[in-house]
Parts: sequence; structure tokens; C-alpha cells
Amino acid sequence: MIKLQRPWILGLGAASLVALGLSIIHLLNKEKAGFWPFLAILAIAGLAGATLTAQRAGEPVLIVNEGSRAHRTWQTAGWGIFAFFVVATPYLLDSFRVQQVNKSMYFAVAVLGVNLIIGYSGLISLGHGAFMGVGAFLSVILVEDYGFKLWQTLFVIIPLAFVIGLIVGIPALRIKGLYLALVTFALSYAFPTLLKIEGIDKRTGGDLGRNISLDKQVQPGRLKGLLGLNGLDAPAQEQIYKYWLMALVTGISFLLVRNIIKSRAGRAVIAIKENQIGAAVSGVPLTTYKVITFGISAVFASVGGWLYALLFSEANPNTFGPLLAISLLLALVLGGVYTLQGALVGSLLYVFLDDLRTRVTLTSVAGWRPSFFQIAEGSPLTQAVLGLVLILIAFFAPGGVVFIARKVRASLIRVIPTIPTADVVASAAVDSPMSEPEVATTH
Amino acid sequence: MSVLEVQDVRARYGQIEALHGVSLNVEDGEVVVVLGANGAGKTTTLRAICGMVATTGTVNLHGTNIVGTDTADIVRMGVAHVPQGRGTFPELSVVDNLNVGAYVRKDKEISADIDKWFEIFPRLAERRTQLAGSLSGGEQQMLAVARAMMSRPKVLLLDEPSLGLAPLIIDDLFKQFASINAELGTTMLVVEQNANLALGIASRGYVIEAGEIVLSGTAEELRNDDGVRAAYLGV
Amino acid sequence: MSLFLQRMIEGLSNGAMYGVVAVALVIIFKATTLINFAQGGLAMFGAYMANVFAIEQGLPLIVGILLGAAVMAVVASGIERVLVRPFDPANHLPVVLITFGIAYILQAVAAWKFGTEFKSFPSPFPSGPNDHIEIAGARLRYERLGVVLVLMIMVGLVHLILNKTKIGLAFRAVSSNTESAKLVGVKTGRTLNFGWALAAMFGGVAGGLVAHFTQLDSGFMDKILIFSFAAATLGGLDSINGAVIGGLIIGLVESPVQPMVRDYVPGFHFLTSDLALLVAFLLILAVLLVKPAGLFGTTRVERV
Repeated sequence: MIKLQRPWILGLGAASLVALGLSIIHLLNKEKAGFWPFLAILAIAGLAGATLTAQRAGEPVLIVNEGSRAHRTWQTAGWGIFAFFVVATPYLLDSFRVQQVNKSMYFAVAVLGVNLIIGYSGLISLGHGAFMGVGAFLSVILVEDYGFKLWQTLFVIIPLAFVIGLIVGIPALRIKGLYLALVTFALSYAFPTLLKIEGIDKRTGGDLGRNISLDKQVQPGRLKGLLGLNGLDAPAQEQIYKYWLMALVTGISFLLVRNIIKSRAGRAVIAIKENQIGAAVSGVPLTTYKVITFGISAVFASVGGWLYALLFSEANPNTFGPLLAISLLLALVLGGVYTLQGALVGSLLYVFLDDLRTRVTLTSVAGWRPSFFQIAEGSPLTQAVLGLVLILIAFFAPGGVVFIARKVRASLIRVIPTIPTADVVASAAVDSPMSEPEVATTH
Repeated sequence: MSVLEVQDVRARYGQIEALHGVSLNVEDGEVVVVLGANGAGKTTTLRAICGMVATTGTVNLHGTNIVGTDTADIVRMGVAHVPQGRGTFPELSVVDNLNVGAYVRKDKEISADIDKWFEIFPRLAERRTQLAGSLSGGEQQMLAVARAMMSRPKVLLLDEPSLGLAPLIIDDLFKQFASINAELGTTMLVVEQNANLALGIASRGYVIEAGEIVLSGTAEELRNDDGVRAAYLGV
Repeated sequence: MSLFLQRMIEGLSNGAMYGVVAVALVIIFKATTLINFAQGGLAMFGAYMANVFAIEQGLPLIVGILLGAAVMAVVASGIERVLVRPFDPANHLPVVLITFGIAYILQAVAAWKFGTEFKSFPSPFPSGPNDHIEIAGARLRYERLGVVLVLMIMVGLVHLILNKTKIGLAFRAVSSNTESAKLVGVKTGRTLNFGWALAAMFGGVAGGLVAHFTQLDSGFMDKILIFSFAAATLGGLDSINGAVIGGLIIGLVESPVQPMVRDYVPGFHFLTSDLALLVAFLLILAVLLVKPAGLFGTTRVERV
């Protein structure tokens, strides 16, 4: 069954979405902004307008039955568009932008780790930058000093990161409260100094960091034709090949996390977050599960670090300090703490916004020059944007972009579920374990 | 005139409505008891009066509607609440618990009042510098009552004062309530499961079930009501 | 031996500064079980304000430091009212985001307004080459002794405020049992606001003292904050005296003990002062593992 009322609202929403997409693509590919930023703002306003109108009407514009043919067709179309972008992205953008997408992917894998601990067990970690460092430096050291192939280093990195995660997690996770944040925050500061200790610095390169030569290892070889690299310049070839390698690892990571969350143990961890006492009574060994979750989340961060080494062919102790850890947290909350997609969406947003922050001044947008807002390029004040975004998210978008997107969709389109059997209900509860994020209650 | 008049009060915790339109009133100087089983809404009724739960309806205190007023301000208007589980300050000394009880007062008789309550509850006097957390259950209940009385309230709300105490201590405590009421004229609303005791000091009472008042009457009437006898008096 | 004594005083004075910041952390944690990650940023900004008042406006340095701290107390009180109070303190993530956001903004504004280069900052105590007393050949510098003195005054002050004033009583009541505090008529919001202001005042004074030893820049309190975390954890996150003693212990381990171990224990030649951060981290781990409530904390620490 399909029911469509006030189609113009849906039309406005769809048109705004297309306009937003176009302006983003344009802004990514062209140096001069022109009128595109305004179109983007207009599109966002259009989406908001459509949402509000639909909300005021009290009924979604489009109502469709779950599993009906129309619903299935649109779902397939949605996945098709996603697949198209996955395949087309590296060929649509220039190599600098492809590198940014690549950057988002290593970020996303690490953010997945952070999400696993924050989103799914409710404990805050500020130390995953250090776990990324473990992955990055082990790959550099093992490849350079011990003759490992880059892929082989994962067999050392993964178990080691897990153990380090346990060591850090065990003391803090036994106690309720912000203790994990405290411990991991200290770890973020301590980790770079550890890498610069006399003796250890021979391996890590100390303040200068260390390069890794991957030229021979990371070569498309026979895949060159398949990936359509022939005829492209060297940097483009490199970035696109790395794009595919990273997309593979990122995809696997997302699938793994999805399965972890849906597993019996995963559901137990979610139970911990929802109801500590209830979980304890039902015989869930709370601390054990939490500690293991933390270990696994450290593993994902370390794989993110491994991808970092692959992407940049270097590692510097100073990279893996507190700023990185906070950036991971920022990416996570930008995307949405309680969702899987949030890790990827948030990372993309973070990487591109961070680039905007450092490169573009407010005045250079569309050549508009209100003197009050003039901030010189590279001014330290651009750092304040990071802080401002953190505060704004906490206040206005505690569920991140994904949560907002879902809200917009829900107010425009309602999918009527087929009458579920008990079995389906149980698994649906796991599908959306994140309930509503605990939105601030203003008194 | 009624000191406290509760009219059609509904209270909710999140999505769940716990009180479905409760009405009761307490006259000046009266002791009124609310009887009910666990989960009937007794505690919620008191919390609704104090503004500690999302509430709709009317709660008139001396004729002023206090629904939506901040708890701290309701206390300033002369209401004291001894919550279930006593609600003392475990990390504060006995004397400081009493001092903080007089937080809303600005007069100079606070230390005289403390001495008075030490006379009424001599066991507290012996432990005046001890931390409240180290007191026994009965002593904590005494402290909670004395702490509430330190604000010189016009209305005292008592939430299951007998809970978890030994029978001898309960008897003693209820005697104190009766004498506080008689000597200071403090109006009291007592929530209890122990109907025998509560009806002993009360002039009137209400029975609450599943968030609704199902019965009301004088203490005598309630004591002789078959339903009350079966459910709360164990006869 | 005289060198050791000298380093002891250095260690104690460093520890005193960690202790003051740790007290600031404890004040907020006691009342709300929250950790204010902007405490370092507030202290840093306070020191810059002191610099403005004392160096640029020519006020006496002590007045400058106190004014700077007072400004930060007002700022912190505003932050609490506008940015922190709307959130349920049991929901930690928003408050963590917000305190980090504030820290970033303060750092950015400081770097923008006051420049990114290191600035030297005077000591409020005599700090010339001859300003010291000699005991058993050890030169105990006034600038070091002065810091310890300030710590003692501030701890005395906080005890006085908490134990002898009405707002102090209210603060202790809120820390002990928030719901009951409301039931005796305490305005909890206003009381916590006072706690934030008091904590920022402490941080601001610490910032004004630390800046002389580290020089002034937008990140100079970062390391100190970590040491203070370690100090507060060691002492017990809800114990003011514990925070002070924890700070002193860490100061002593860092300054006199560490060089001794480096110089006399074979195999430890790699110990450098930068490593203190690592030591602080390991210490936090160890305390939480062995005695999560710290040396002086109440055993209210909830295990799960």
C-alpha cells in the first residue's frame, strides 16, 4: 500500500536533497565557491521546511507498507546509489579529495572502536588515539626493522592492541563513572612521551617520527587495468589504489562490528548500558564483557592506525596524542553515537570540515567580507571552531547527523511494519538497540 | 481551612502515569494517614506535593497552588519532607545534619532548637559529632525527623517512617510524632503500610490503590472497615 | 644531601601546584561526579588575565593573579549556568564534550589574543638569584617556599568556606545527598554554581603560580592537569585533603626521587623529566587497580 499526501512537500525534500548533494560535489571539486554555498544553505532550509511542514501536519507525507514492492524497490535503489558512490567516488574526485576520503576511512575504523565502547556500553574513552598509535608504529617498526610485509603486521597488531586494551581497561572498567575517561585521557598524554623515551626513540624516530617505504608493497600490479588506473598520473593511481585497499578493510570492519553487536555477547553489552542491575541479575558478567568490549574497541583503533601508516607511509609520536583522541570523539558525535553509520558519516564530515576550518577563512566564502568575521587564514582562532562544534552538538544534535537524518526521514516517510512474529520483534530490538539518545532535558 | 489541599493530581515518571487523579486534604493541626500497599502511589503522592515528580493538577498550600514550584521554594513555604530511606546526609555530622535542616531559617534560635531536639532524642546528642552515615537505622530515622523539624515546618510529610525499624523503636517514634503534633501543632501527612500504628495517631485517613484514592474516612471508620482490616490490619 | 633537600623543596612546590588544581577537580567531582576537563584551560586563561592586569596594567602581581582568578571564577560560573546545568549530570557524554569544547575555545582565544610565543611570567615572591635561605647547604628559594605557603593558605581557606559558612554547608549537603538537599530548601543549582566558581578560583591561582616556572603559553596547563588528575586519583577523587597530599606525593616522586633513581639505580638511565607524564598515567592505573577510592577517598566508589 502506498499513500501519498501533499506531494509538493516530498518534492521539496527531494529537490533540496539533490541540491545539497550537487553543491557538496561542486564545492569539493572547485576552488571557487561561487553561489554554491548559498545553494547548500537554501537546500538545508528546504529540507528543514519540508520536515517542519510535515511535522505540523502530524502525518508523514508518504506512507508505505514494509516489504511491499514499492518499499523493496526503493530500498534496492538506495543500496544501488550507495554502491554507485562507493565505486565512483575515487574517479569523480581529484587525488587530493580522494586522499581526504581515504583519511575518513582510517578515521572511521578507529571511530568504530570508540563507538563500540561509548555508544554501546556507555563508557567514555579519550585514549583511542594512543591505540591508533600502537597500530601505526607497530606496522612501521615491523616492516622497516623486521622485514614484515605490511599485511602480516596485522597478526601482531591485533592481539597486542587487544592486550593493551585489557591492561588499560581492567583497572578503570571495574568502577562506575568517568574513571575510564580519566585513565584514557592520561594515556593520551603519556603515549607520545613513552614513544620518545631514550632507547625507544630509536625505533619510533622520536620527535621526528619515522617513514615506512611501502612503494614496492602497495602496488596495483595486475589490478591496474581492473581498477581503471591506466592513463592516470602517479598520485591519482596511488590514492585510488589505496582507496580500494582501505575500503576493503573498512567494509570488513563495519561488518565485523555489526556482527559483534548482534551477537549474544553484544546484546549483553548493550544490556549493560541500558540497565546495569537488570543485566547483573540476569547473569551477565558485566565487568568481563565491558573489558572485552574495550579490548575489541582498541583493536579497531589499532587497525585504524595501521591504515594510517598505509595511507601516509609515516608515523610520528606527536600525532597520536590527546588532540587525535578528541577528534575521534568529535567525529563520532558528529555522525551519531548510537549508530553504526555514524562512524563513517561523522568521519567524512570531520575530515572535510577540519580541512575547511584550516584552509578556508570565513571571508573567502563567496567573497563576502563582513569585517566583523574576518579571521586570517591559519589563525589560531580557527581552533575555537572545534570547541564550538563540540558544544553545539551536545546541545542541539546529541544524536549526530544520522539521528537528524532519521528524524527528517521519519517525518516525511513512514514505513508501516508488517505484523511481526515474536522472533522478528526480538531481533528488531537488537537492530535498533540505541533507543533514543539521552537528549538533554532542559529545566 | 485546609492547610494542604490536593486536587485531582496526576504524576508521571517518564511515560508511566503513577497517580491518576488523587485528591485529599489536610486541616490545620491535623494528622492524616495515607494507607496503601507497595507501589500504590503513596511515595509519589508526597513527591508530587514537594514538586519532585512531573505533576499536573492542583496542590494548594495555605490556598496557594504550588504545582510547578521548585522543591527548595516549597520547603521555604513551610513544608518538610522525611523521605523514604530517611534521606539524611551520610557524610555530614549529626550536628551539621540539623544545621542544614535549618538552612531556610534566618533567626538566631537555631542552636537552641538543636539543643531542644537533642533533648527529645538523647541518643542523637550522644552522637552529635559522628557522621550520620555511621548511625543505626533507628537513629537515622530520629535524625531525619529532627532534621525536618529544624526548619520549623507547618506541614510535615512522613514517608513510611516505620520502614525497616524494630517494633520498640517504631512505638517510640510514633509517640514522638504524637507529641510533636500536640505540642507544636505541626500538621502531618503520614504515609504508611503499618496501619495500626498510623491510625493510632491520625484523626483521618485515606486508602490509595494503584494510583487512586479508593476510600477515606475518620481513623475510627477506617479501623472498622472490613477491607482495611483484611488488607492492612491483618485481622 | 643538600641537593636532595633542595630538590625536595622543588618537588613540594611543584606538588603544591598540582594539589591546588587537584582540589579544584575534587570540588566539582565531589558534588556532581563530573570531571571538568576545562579546568586546565580555565587556569591557563586566568594566568593570561593576571598577565594583563599585572604586567600590562601595572597592578601588583598578587592583585593581578587574584583578579585573574576572580575573572575565571565568574567565567566558570557562567559556563556552569549556561552550558552545564541544562544536562543531567548522570549523562556524562554531553558534559565531557562541553568541557572539552570550552578548553579548546579558551586555548584558541588565548593563542589568538595573546600570541603563540612563550611569555615569561614573574613570581609573586622574591625570585632573584640571592632570594633564598640556606639550610644545611641547601638553597631553599623563596619562590618555591612561597608556593607551598600559598597551598597551605588555600587549603585552609577551602576548609573554612566549606565548614564555617552557610553556602559551604549547603555545598556539603548537595555533595552528600542532592535530593535531601533540595528537601531542606537548598537551591542545588546555585550551590553547584558556587562550586564551579570556587574551583575556577583555585585553578586560576594555580595558573598564576605555575606560569612563572613553565612560562606562559596557551597549553602550559595541559601537563599540570594530567599530574593533577593523578594527584586527585591518588588522594581519592572526593577528598580535598587527599588531593593535596596526592599532589605533594607526585611532586616529590617527580622532582627528587626520579633523578635519584636515574642516577643511582642501574638500568634506569632513560628516565627523563618528560617521562613524568608516563609515571602519572601508570600511577592512575595502579591506584584504580589497587585502591580505587584512593588514599583518603570515601569507599562510595561504585563497582559494577
